[in-house]
This record gives sequence, C-alpha cells and structure tokens, in this order.
Amino acid sequence: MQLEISNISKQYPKTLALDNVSVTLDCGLYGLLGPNGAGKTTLISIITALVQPTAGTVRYNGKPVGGRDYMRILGFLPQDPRFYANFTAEEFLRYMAAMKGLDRKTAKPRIADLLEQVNLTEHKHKKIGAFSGGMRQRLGIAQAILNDPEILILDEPTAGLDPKERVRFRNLLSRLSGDRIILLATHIVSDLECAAKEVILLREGRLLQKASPLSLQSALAGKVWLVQADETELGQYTARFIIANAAAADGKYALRIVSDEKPHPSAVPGQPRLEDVYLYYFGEPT
Amino acid sequence: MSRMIAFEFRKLLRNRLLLIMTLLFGILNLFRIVRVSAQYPSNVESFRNGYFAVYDEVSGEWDNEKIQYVLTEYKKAKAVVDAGGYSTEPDQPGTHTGYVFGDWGLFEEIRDAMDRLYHYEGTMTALTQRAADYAAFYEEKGNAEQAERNRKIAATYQNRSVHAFYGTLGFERYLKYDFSTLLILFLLLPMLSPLFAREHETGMHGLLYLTPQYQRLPLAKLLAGFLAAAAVSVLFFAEDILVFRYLYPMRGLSQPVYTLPDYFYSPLSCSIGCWLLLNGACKLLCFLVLGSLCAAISAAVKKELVPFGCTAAVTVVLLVTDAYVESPVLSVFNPVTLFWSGRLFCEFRTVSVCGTPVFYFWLPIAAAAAELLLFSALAVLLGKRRSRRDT
Repeated sequence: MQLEISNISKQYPKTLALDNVSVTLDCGLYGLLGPNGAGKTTLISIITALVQPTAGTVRYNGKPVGGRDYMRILGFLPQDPRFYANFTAEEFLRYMAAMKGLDRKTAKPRIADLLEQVNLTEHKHKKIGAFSGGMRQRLGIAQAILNDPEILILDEPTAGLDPKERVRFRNLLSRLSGDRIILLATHIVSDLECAAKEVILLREGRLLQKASPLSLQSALAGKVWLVQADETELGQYTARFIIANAAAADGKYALRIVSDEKPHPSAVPGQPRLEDVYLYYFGEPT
Repeated sequence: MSRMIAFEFRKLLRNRLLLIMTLLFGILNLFRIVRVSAQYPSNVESFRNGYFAVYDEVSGEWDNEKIQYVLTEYKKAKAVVDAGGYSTEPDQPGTHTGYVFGDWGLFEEIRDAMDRLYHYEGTMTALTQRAADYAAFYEEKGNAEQAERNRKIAATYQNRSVHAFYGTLGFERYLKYDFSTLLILFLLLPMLSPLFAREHETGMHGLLYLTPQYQRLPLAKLLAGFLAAAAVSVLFFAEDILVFRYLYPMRGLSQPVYTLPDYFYSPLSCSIGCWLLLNGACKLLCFLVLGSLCAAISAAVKKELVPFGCTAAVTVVLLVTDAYVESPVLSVFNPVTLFWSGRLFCEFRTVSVCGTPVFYFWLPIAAAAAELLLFSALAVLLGKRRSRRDT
C-alpha cells in the first residue's frame, strides 16, 4: 500500500496554505509536525479528499483519492471532536458503523472489542455529553478504526489525554501501524519519538524535512547545548537563543539551548531529542 | 438506509428540552380543549348531560317514533316559551336540560338538523336534476365548459342519502379546533432546525463526509425529519381526538361527511371518520412543506438558529397572508391554507384546467406537494455538497 502526495499546493484567497509538498507514505506510523498555520490540517483535508488541491495529486495505490471505495478504507479522527452529546458511546459507534457501511452482525463484536481496546467498556451506556475530553478522544479513536482502515489519519489525537492514556494510545497505534498507513498530526513530540517511522516537518506550507526521528535527531548533533546561567544571564540567553529547557537548581539555571552556534565557551554539547528538532525548526527566542 | 433513518430520528428526538416542551404543550393543549369545549353546548353540567342524553335517545337509523318524539317535545317546549312566565332557574322538573328555554333550543336544533338530513336525498336529487338540465342547456348553446361543470355537479351529488341521525357537535367543535396546530408548529421548527446545521456545530460534518454512506445521509435525515414531524402531529391529533371524544359523544363516525352542517354541499362523499383522517393528512402535508423548507435552510447554513428564525418568519408571513390577504393565487401557493382544509372541501368549487373543471381543492394540495418536492430536493442537494472549506 502506498499513498503518494505529489506537488500539492493549496491557495486560499489570502494565503498559500501548501506550497509544492511531495511525500510518499508506505505502511507505518508517520508524524506530521509543525506549528499552527503550517498547513497540517490543510494537508490532512487534501489527503482525506475533504478539500481539493489547487495543484498536484494525491494517489493511493495509483488511484486518485476520493469516492466511496476510498472512504471505505479511510479512518479519520478530527481535532477536538464533540460528537453527539445525547448519544451513548455504544450508540455513537453503532451509528458510525452504519455510516461506514458495516452490517449489524459485523459491527456488534467489533464495537465491543474497540470499546475494550480504548478502555470505555464500562462507560458504553453513558451519554457522550458526560464524557471528559480524554474519554471523547478515546471514543474518537475507536470510531476512526471501526472499519479497520488501511489509512488512518489522526489530528491531535492525544490532546486531553493524561500520560497513562497517552502511553496506552501509543501502544495501540504501534500495534495498528504494522499493516496500515497512519498519519498523526500532533504538537506532542513524545507521541512520535518512539513509535514514528518517519516525521514530516511542515512550516508555512512547505515541506522542511521527512526523515526518521533518529535521523532528524542525528542531524541536530552539535546544535544542542547545555550551559549553566544565573538570573541575569538567563534573560540574555532567552533573548538570543531557543531555550528547550531551563531547570532551576541552587540559585542557578541549567539551560538546554538549541542553536547553530555555541552559546557560551563553557557550553557542552547535549544529546539531541525530537523536541529539540521541533524547536530548531519552529522555535524562536522569546 | 433504515438504520440511518432510525439513528437520525433518534438524534432529532433525543433532546430533553424538546421533550419537556412537548409535555408542557400537551398539558396546555388539554386545558385549552377543555376550556373551549366548556362553552359548547354549555358550561353547566346538568345542561350538558341532558343535551347529550336527548341526542343519544334520538340517534340512530331513521325512526318515525323518534321523529315524532322530537316534534312533540319541541312543540311542548315552544308552547311554554311562547306563553312566557317560565322559570329561568336551573334544574327545572320535567325538563331535559334543566331549563325550559334550554329544552326549546335543544329540540329546535334537533328538529332542524333532522329536517335537513331527512330531506337531504330529496334536496340532492333536485339539485342533480337541475344540474343535468343546465348541462343539457349549455351543451345546446355550445358552452362546453359550463356543460361539463354542470355534469360534474350532477355526478358529485347524485345518489346521496342519509340513513341515520347523530349529533355532530363533537365533530364540529373538533374540526374547528386549531390551537394544537400552532403548538405542533412551535415544536417542529426547533426540532428540525438542527437537522443538518448541527453537524457543523458539533464538528461531525467533516467526519460524516468521509464515510461511504455520506451521499445517502441527506435523504435519511430528511425522511427522519418527516417521520418526526408525523410522530409529533399524530401525538397531538390523537390527544385532540381522545379529549374531544371524552367531552362529547362523537357517535356516527361512519356517517357521510355531508351530514355535518358546514359540509352540506361538500363534494366529498366519504365518512366523517375518513374526513377526520383526510383533514389530519392535509395539516400534515403543510407541516411537511414547512419542515422541508426548514431542512433546506438547515442544509445551507452552519448555525441552527438561522433555519429556525427564517422558517418561523416565513410561517408568520404565510399565516398573516392567509388571514388578511384575499388573493386566489396566494391561497393556492400558501401551504397554510391546508391547516383549515374544511374551507377547501365544504363547498363545490371548481377551476377550469384546459377546459375541464377540476375541483379547486386539488390546486393547493398539488402546490403543497410540489413545494414539498422542491424543498426536499433542495435539502438533499445542499446536504450532499462538500465541506465549506473547499473553495
């Protein structure tokens, strides 16, 4: 299975949301990283055929995306879903099963299994309106994989989940990613660190990088610095450099700085993390 | 498709506020019926009991004994009233209603009704013969249209007869009662406004668009909306008929509709029971027209207040136009004409369509059906279109 995104551009009246983006996705989990306004949602909308590109094509296994057959193999979780407050979780999944064309016989055991996977079995008769944000996200994930999709697109799926739930979610995604394409748009870098096959970096509609987390981290070797600073120096560093972390201890600050240049003669190189990669490409001194 | 309709139906009715409103409106409707009915024939219980007891006594197949009884009682009561000096106190001995004057009024009413219905066949035979004569006359004069019209009159009123007598006050009061119609409207509009618009408000629109069944969803929503409109209508119609049935005897459902005073010249020959159903169907057709308009607007916008406001405004305009503007053309295309369908069916009225006389009542019905189709098609087409993010 292969999803080919070729020379995609999207021009809105006042904005060029995407500018000649090309990526090819095979089986596995892909992260889509970028700040607000980078074009992540637009790219997702084009991949899901919600929106037509101004230029370029998106093909799945050689065929243009869109149409009923494509919808059958697609799973999607939008950002901040609210669903129907007056439906119970089970009812909602039955509704989505009907919308996805699953017959009753297939849907019933599948729904029971999914509720178990996302830890909502004991809440299945509860109204969605009474759900917490995390519970709604889990329900959203369940509906996204209801039809066992070949392409799974998740837009900020772990927003609102506590650490325990995020770990559970990452494990679920890892299990799923073996035989399908998963595209995960997120700001939470830790979601991708261990699980993502490759990370796609977008900024202002342009593709910056597409590489494995390890490659991206390796490329940042020599650009992550650890240095000690006092109160006065902290302000100076903050104004000039991207501070990845500032840990206070014994009246001083242990700073983690992302920069092409060595910030201070006493600075020592640090081991790059994916978060540093994000800050390197998208961060700014404050 | 049936599963989708069921879920969409549930979506519409799963609204706590709506359920509370329905309950409150049901109670309001009940009080309104009781209040209105209390005046007819009287708000005095003994009068009502006597009134209905007399009608019960004289109802049924034509019977000379019953006819004579009515005439005798009428004459007796009239003599007392003409003589004057009678008591106006309630519960007078030897009276049926408790009042001398009440008895006179009651038996006069029954006498006149019996007279009208007993001679109905003769009246219609004479009318039919006259119409046939006119048809021949116009045919001779070369006026084919008028000839055809008179032939239609003759055909409509021929072979009509009345074989029994029943009191019809309950039916008359029921058919004149229209408060529940307004209540149904007040429920339908908030119920149907979110039909499509709420998908945008809940963020579900994009998600639903990405499902294989999306193209069928607008039709499922529309049908669910119609089902919901029918359910609410039937609920209130049932309440109306049950409460009226409790307050009035309402015997004689199988009597022809032309036994009702207002329908003496009605072109319909169906039973009163059948007419009650048709009357309800006409109202339901109007509700569906307004509902489909609401659905079409809901499919065009993202906020559910917009279809509610627009349809409410249109409904008010239509109601005011129907009440105060005399225009044959507007009456045809105004769906609220069907709320008071009695006006359409109580008299013989035709229009010439390509030289052929067609009953006038078909025009507003056909117009409403066309409007229903148009708004429904619009709702489905607008509901199928892409997410608004596409430019």
